[in-house]
Amino acid sequence: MKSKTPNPPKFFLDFFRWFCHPDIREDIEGDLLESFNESVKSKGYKKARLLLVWDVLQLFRPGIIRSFSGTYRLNHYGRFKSFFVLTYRHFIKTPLTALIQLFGMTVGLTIFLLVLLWIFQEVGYDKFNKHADRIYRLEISSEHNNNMVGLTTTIATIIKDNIPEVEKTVRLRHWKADQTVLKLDNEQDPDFFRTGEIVYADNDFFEIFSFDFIKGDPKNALKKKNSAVITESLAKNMYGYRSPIGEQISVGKGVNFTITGVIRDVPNFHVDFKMIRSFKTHQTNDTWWYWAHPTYLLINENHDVTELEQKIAAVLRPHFPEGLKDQFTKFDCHLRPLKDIYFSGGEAQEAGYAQHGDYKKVIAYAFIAFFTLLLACINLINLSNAKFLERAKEVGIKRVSGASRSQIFLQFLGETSLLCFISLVLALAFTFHTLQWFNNLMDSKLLISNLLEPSIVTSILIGLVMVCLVSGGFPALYVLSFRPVKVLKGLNVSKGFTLKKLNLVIQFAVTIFLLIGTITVLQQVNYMKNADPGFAREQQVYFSFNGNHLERLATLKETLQANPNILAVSSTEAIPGTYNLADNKPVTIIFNGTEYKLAGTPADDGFVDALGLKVVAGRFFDKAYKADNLIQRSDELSSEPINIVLNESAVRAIGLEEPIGATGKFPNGGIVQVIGIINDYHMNSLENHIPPTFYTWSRAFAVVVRITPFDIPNTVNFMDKQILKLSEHIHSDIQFIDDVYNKQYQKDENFAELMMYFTLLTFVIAGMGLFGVSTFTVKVRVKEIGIRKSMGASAYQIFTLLTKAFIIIVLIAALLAIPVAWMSMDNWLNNYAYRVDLKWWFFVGAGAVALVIVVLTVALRTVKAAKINPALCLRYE
Amino acid sequence: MGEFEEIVLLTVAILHGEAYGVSVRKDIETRLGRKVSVGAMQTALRRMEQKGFLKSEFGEATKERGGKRKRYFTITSFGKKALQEAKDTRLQLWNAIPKVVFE
Repeated sequence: MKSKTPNPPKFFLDFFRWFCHPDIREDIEGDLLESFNESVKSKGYKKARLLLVWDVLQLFRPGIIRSFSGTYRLNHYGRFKSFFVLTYRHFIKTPLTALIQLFGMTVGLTIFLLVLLWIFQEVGYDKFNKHADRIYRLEISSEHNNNMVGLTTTIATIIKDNIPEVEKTVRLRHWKADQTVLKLDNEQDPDFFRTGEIVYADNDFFEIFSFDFIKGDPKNALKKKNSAVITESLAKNMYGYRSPIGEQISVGKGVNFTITGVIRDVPNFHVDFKMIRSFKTHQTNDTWWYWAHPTYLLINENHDVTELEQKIAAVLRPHFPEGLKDQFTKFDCHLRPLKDIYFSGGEAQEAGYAQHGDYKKVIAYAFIAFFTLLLACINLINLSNAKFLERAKEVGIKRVSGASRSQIFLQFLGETSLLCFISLVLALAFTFHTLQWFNNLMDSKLLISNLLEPSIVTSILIGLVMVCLVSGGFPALYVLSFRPVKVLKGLNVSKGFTLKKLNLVIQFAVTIFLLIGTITVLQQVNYMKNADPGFAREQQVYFSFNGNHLERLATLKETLQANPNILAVSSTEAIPGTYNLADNKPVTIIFNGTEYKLAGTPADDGFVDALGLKVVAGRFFDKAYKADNLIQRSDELSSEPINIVLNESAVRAIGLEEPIGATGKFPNGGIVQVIGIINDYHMNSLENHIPPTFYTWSRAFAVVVRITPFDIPNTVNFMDKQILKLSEHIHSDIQFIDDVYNKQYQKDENFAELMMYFTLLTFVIAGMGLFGVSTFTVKVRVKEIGIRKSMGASAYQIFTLLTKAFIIIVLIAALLAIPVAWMSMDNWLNNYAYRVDLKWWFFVGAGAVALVIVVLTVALRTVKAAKINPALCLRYE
Repeated sequence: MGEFEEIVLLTVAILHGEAYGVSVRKDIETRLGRKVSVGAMQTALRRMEQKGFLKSEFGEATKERGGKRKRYFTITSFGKKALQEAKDTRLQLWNAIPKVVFE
């Protein structure tokens, strides 16, 4: 039986009922049904349904569709919308406070982001290597040398051939100095380029370390002699967007390199380089000469490292040639995990080829970032509290109308969170613009794209949530403490002022602490830079010298000395700023039956003149005394004692009363005789002690030259030519000693500069917060001020009344900050062997600066308040 | 006032007291022989009601309407004035056409 009333399509009818505006729903629905029934009769059921569907779809248009807010449907859209509207209106109403809040938080977050990027880079060094867990660096210790990293080329070959646990080995040779090369792609107009630092490496380099090849074949890139792989940045510099593969470059005198690969720049590999050349270019045959090659091993999984160390030592020992065996009677191997290398600065003798980080610095920066962010949060809390107090009535009305506590909490939390979120967006923009500056200051290579790394994104989000919870949560809780009845009666609710005071104390304590820190760091850096190092720092250059050409050194020295602009030439390795005596395993010498450990340094007759040292007693090495020169000592003199020179520290350490002529002996029986004493000088940064040292006239692989201040470029040019004359394979890497020496303090200087900026910013943040709070205080107390004035108080009295509270806050902050600062700065200074003393004025000065800033900031508001006309503020009651 | 609105308004006037959704649509379709979309028509009706050309009241509910009431539209005096103006404007323009054009 057919149904009496045919069914219209239910789904579409429901759809219509859902979207249609309720005011017009009834009659249109009626119209639809009427037409449907009519067309069922005239056109049939199926067609009628289709027509209705078509009608409904045509009705789905603006004018018919209901709006999605403000209906009786139970959602929260309306409430959320009103939150945003309220937030926006309050921003507009108090733009200054809102801007101060935004700015403070933006600064805090920017510093947080920059430091976060930096910390992640520091901690992530070398971790990009896929096999990072299995890569170890071989270090060898003998009697004279501890954890020597520079090895001879044979060692890697022996290990590879004899120890199956070692999968692959790679030997490096690193040149700190860059080189000028000639591009040979255009014969008419060849271009010169500076290469940046250069590394020579075995072909397995790219098998062990995971570098991204953009072009070229990683398996064979370094197989042939005279092939080179360059980084993307160097490739862009030299060839633009052209493929450099197969291009030739020349380093002069017919030595041409072929470029076989381009790799992506890696900012966090512990060896810095722009160009890698095949190891065969550097040395074709393995030798036992020339200890200068850091060697890395890729070992199989699951091998006990200690066992392997012993095995390597056992395998190597019988291979040592006769001449070396007696130098390596004690002999240990150590495998240092790749991941530990970056933070192991100073533990091994590396001759400066590796870059190092400092855990202490990472922690220090993390603290600074944390405190800046904390200050920004406190600032936000203070200002929000002040602002929200004015909205007590709004809260009262809401509570009375039935808003729950959690709804109000969420509203105010949300308001501050929105602000934090906007600050984060601004901070990202700031970070983008300040990253270059920050990189220069930190000597780092951070990229803005690092911000997209998942671990960093997570940290930022966690940071943001914490900031929102802290700086939004406290004010929201404060708002909840308002009692609706009191508030609506118009009673004052200036509770929570203690929290505000506490916050101010924390802010200023941190600021004063940072200021004391900055003063101390600046003092220490200045002291180190300006202290007399004990040697003449100017007009000295040095270059390193290939061991294969030692026999020609004497000729070179003579040629150089013939130049009137060259004052003195000395072959020594004790180059200030490069050679760390403290790294050397001390040599034992027995004086008067007691063993003393002294640092041994090779020098020659020109040493004192070249470095500008003073002979305190006795004499220095001299050509006239044949016994001095150990390199050319004839056999008939072998029974004579070895002549040595001590420095003052050594004399003090040994306690020699008559040092000149005193004799001692090596544990193997060799006799030494002291012929002179030279003054102590700071070969390294003042961070280190001057070790007790003895000098012998022996082989050295570097030359120091002291020149006159006249026509320096020509003199250097002359030296360049003379060095290149020795051999076509030699590098000329002449550097000025004061440059190298001052570079030691670069990091300390950068640290000081950064501290200065951080301190300045925290002052700005704290000052702005204080400004906000004082504005608020004045506003709350304006009637009180009016009454006091009408009772006869002077403007000055009002001013002191309002300012006193803030001065007390600063004093309390200073009292808290000073002892902490004293302890931590004393602790920091103890890292330095030669340090400034903490003086009272560091502390008083910092406190005074804080006080002046506070009084000036507060005065901006209080002076105005003190001058107020009482009639104006008492008019409305 | 658009052309379609004018037609709807005129139809409401023609139907005089009998104008509701279905009747207006049917009248336009039969009289002018053009298809009318319910959506366009309903929007026009509501918009003109907002402008004050029309006013509306609920009428009776019938069985074939599923128990839903009709909404009857009537033209207001403001609506009449608007129609008159529209007509005058046209006439004015018609009169301004030189006779030559139609020759």
